[in-house]
Amino acid sequence: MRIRRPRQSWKRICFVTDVHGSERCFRKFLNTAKFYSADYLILGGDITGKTLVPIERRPAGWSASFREHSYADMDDEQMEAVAQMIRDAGNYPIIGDHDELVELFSPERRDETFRAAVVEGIRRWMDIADERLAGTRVQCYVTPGNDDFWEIDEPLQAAERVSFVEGKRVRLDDEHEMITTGYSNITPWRSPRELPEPELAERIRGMFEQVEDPQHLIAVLHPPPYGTELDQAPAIDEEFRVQTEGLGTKMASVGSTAVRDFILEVQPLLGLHGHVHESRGAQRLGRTLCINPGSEYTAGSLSCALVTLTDTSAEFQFTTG
Amino acid sequence: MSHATFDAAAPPEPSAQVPIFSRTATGLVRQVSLLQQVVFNLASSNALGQGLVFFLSVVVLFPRANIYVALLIAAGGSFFVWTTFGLLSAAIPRIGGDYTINSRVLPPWMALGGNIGSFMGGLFGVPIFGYFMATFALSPALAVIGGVTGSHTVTTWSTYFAADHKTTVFITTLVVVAIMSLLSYFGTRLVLKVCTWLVLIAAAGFFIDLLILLFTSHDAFVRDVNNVAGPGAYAKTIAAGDKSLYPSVGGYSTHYTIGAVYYALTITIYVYWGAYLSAEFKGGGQRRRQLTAMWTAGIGNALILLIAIAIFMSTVGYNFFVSAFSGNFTAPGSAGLGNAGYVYFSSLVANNNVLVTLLALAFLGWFLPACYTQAAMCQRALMTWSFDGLLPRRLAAVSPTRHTPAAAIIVTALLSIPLAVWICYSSNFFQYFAIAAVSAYPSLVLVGITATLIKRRRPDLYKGSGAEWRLGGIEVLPVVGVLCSLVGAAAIALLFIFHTEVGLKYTRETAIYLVAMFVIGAAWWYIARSMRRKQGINLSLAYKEIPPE
Repeated sequence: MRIRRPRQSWKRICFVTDVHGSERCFRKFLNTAKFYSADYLILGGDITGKTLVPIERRPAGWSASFREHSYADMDDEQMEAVAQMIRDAGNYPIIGDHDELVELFSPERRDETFRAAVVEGIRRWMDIADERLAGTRVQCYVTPGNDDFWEIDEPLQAAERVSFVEGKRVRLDDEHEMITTGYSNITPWRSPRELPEPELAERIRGMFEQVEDPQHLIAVLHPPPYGTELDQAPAIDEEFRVQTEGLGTKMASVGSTAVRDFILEVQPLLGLHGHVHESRGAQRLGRTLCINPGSEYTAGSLSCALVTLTDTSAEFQFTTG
Repeated sequence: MSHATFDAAAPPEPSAQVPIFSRTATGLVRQVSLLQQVVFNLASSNALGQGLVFFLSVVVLFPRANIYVALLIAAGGSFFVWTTFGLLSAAIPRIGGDYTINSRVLPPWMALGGNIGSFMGGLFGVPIFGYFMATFALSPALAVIGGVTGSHTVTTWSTYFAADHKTTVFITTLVVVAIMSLLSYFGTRLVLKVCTWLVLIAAAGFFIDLLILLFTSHDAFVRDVNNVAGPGAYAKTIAAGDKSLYPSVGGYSTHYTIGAVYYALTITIYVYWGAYLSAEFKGGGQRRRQLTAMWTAGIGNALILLIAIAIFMSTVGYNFFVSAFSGNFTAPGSAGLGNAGYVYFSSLVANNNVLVTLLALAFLGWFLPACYTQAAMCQRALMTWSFDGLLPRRLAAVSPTRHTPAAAIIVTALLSIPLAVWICYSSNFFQYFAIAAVSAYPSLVLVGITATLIKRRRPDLYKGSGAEWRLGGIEVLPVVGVLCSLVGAAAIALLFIFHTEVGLKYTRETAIYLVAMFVIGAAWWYIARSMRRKQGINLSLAYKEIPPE
């Protein structure tokens, strides 16, 4: 079933974020153009995965353990199916015999292994995107997020049907402009693209200086504004342990003050955020509608925010597809 | 895809398996401990002392029921419900409850219909627990304190909170709802913290009460009763009772034991509510984690209740309690016997004014958290419906300073006020509440159906997830799903069969209500869909899977 196209010239954004390597989610993302009749597809950061899963060649066949299941004695076709399942859940299958895997997963080599797998994954995704979006008028925008290695910028920029928009101001149509960054404020994980709040504010300001009409601005800023319903996450200590309070989990605001200050001052039409998977929600800061669609990438479900733009307003709908 | 070998139970070969590797990245370790998850699950049910208080009334409502067997059957049936929710939470690790689970597999209007039932049950529950704070908690607790300490003033206060003092009870109900709503507004952390402490205090009191009864011999208890209520009071109470209520006279009744299963279900089954709160954390997708948390809370609660009942009955005596509960026992503070039985009898033998006062006050701790649990369910439902476009967006508004769902909190509180008037000033509320209490069971039936259909209708959610679990080559989820539906259906059937015993007068209206939930759900959903279409929003797409290929 499709959304009936309104008579007026409305434009629809499908905003998705934090797919974290889930190939199933990425393929769904590309299909949202058709499924949701979306004009603009925006992938708002944290697009790469976090885990390598070994698939081992043994005399009796391929063997792997994944998600509480053990798979053994697989032939090539079955192994490829398991590898795809691993990719669909946001992980990278690493295939080899025992000695190769021990080497690739050794503390000395695993970072290199990881980066290679991530880059290979992104190239694979961009090939899929170029193929699926070829011949359509859909505009697809992608930015890396704080969790994404620098190495993925090159394959993203090389894609034909995907626009790499990190740090850029782009014009969507006659009315609407968009600024985008996947950088976040500092996190306990020291991920690749983090900035102290003043520098993050400066980066956002740099893009904003090129904006012609702030009233119709769409600000795709990976971290949500600080102190909102969109940035609530379990508090953790230096060793990443969740903090408790009584017998409950202690929650904390983990969003960005730079993002909040920018939104409150400039009051763009729309703020599109991610970063905090648990805090799916929408909240107005002044006139600005701020949305975090959250993420369910591990389940292979795509969490979207569908935003219908008119000349003056933005209506939204959350979907889980 | 077919797997050459599929063995969920067998561990990987340890000698050769290279372990997976996860890099340091945002959010990887946002875990809640297993203990926390167990507590979430436990706190969602009528656990421990609260369960004991409610369940002990079975001895009169269902004469000669074997309460141990009833509790065991209910726990056994609930086991399938816990397991179904645990597995589905592993496949769909999101908060939102039955609506979230069902709406991804079943038609959304059907999921909404079931959720309306859960919402109504919760909405009725908000003022109910405020009302119980007066009649079930303050009145008996003050009666116990006044009786044991010999304070006429405190005893008089206890009567002010009895059901016939309607205005006092009404004000108490409003105060409880107001406190709960204000705490909710000022912060989820705050309200959870307060509730946690109250539950801990109440649970501590419960265990101390049990220890007192455990270390009091039956003979000593009889002596204490006779000392307090007069020579031979214990024997006279038994003699005055209705013998048809005594299993020792007529033997256990199979019929009423089955009836008591319905009552026991209301105490054991709701552990599954905890999954609504804790399913979203990292690790929520792990089957072992979900099932361990569910089973530990559910089985633990049932076992503790069984032990508590055994201790209670062993010391107090079954026949004496039945007769005393029926109103044949008079002693200082005995007005608190019916609603706070274990507190009263442990106080009676404790013979220490300070301890008695503390234990009676600790008993109050059960009720505000129970009120919050009901309200939180309603607030979450309003938020979810609002986000899904079924209600105005304004209902999802959060406080900019407190980050709490301010609109949903206010609406829930306002809706509970007319219900509070009804409960306090009319005589037929509980007959209608019995209707609302059955509301949660249709959604259980639907969740069971979801469990059986998820593999076919949403293979993307099921395949390779923690829910895909086989034992002896048989897929577990469809089997427990069918049993979950049967338990839900059995609970509804038991309510109708034993409607007199549980105080359900309006059986025809109940049947109409169960159908109406889904009619209203369908009408509401289709009207909302039509209205939202004009805004370019298609509600049908909210949970429809996007084809990946």
